[in-house]
Amino acid sequence: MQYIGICNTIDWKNLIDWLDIDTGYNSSANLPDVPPVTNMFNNLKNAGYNMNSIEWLNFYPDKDYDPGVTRLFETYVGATHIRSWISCVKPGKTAPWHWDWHQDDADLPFDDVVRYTANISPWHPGQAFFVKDGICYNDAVGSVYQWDHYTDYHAGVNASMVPKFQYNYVGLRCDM
Amino acid sequence: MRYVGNCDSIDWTQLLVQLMHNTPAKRGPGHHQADHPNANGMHKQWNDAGYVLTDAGGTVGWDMYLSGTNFSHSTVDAVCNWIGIENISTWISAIHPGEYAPLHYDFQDDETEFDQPGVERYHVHITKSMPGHAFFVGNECAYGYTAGDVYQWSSWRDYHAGVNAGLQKKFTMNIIGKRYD
Repeated sequence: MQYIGICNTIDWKNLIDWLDIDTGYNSSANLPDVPPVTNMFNNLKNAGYNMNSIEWLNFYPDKDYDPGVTRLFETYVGATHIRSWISCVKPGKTAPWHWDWHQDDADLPFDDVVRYTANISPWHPGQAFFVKDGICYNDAVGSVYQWDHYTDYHAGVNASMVPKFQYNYVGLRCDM
Repeated sequence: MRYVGNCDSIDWTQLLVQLMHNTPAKRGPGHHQADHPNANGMHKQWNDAGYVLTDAGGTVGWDMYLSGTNFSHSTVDAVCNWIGIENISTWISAIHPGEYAPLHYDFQDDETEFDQPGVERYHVHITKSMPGHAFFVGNECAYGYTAGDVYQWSSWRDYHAGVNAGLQKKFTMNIIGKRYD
């Protein structure tokens, strides 16, 4: 995971303020029933993971927020948009150690896909995001990280008193 | 939070194996009363934020291992000698995968003993850092540590939190002691 910089072309505070947390899509409760995903979650169960903690809410462009955000971020990172979303982990919930399986990914040029994460809500002690052996915490709003690979294992935690939001972006390198 | 060094006077792997085969003395948090006079409204903050104890189907809770019950006093003595303090209170906490010790400070029924000059607070990581494990003290986060790494806090009153989104239990030794004169 490599720190890229602060994306300040997007008003992240305004974006979050407009989100209705109660309408977030509970992605963790609607996981695809495919072996890569079921295997991951079986591993968690076998490890004694508290499955009640698993919850993250997703918000999508067009449906939940202005798609202009996507264009601004695409310009900032210089990677052609494939998909993006905002995720939210509430206090006491976790996005456990996992990688993101997606049904459309079989057709993607595996090595040319890039993934970015931006921490978009003010940091509070107890909040962290892990990617492989890296961690980000206490970042300024808008801090952007590029992952080594978009299928890297990752996790999100929130032991603070307020929800944690981050922006997720998967794209294609423009220099191909 | 200040990194003190790696305490090599303990066989941390042996201690870990011992703890893994031991029933914890109790579960935390120790004080469930929302109105405890020293809690500073902490549990109300937890409730307002949506935290629920594991006993009630939530994610807040941790195992507590006590010296003399779950591990030997000689272990405590060895670590305290390494640091250079006289032990006041030492315990080992363990957070299960998918569980939390939300932001809090370790309030006591009687805090006068801890508010004396020379009283210091430390924590020691019993395992190496694993993905999904993190320990926060104030605005800092311990990560990437190895077994036996010792950190000193600014004060025993520092707010802290432990998280575990990984696949293994996370063990931390907590020490409050008084600096040798």
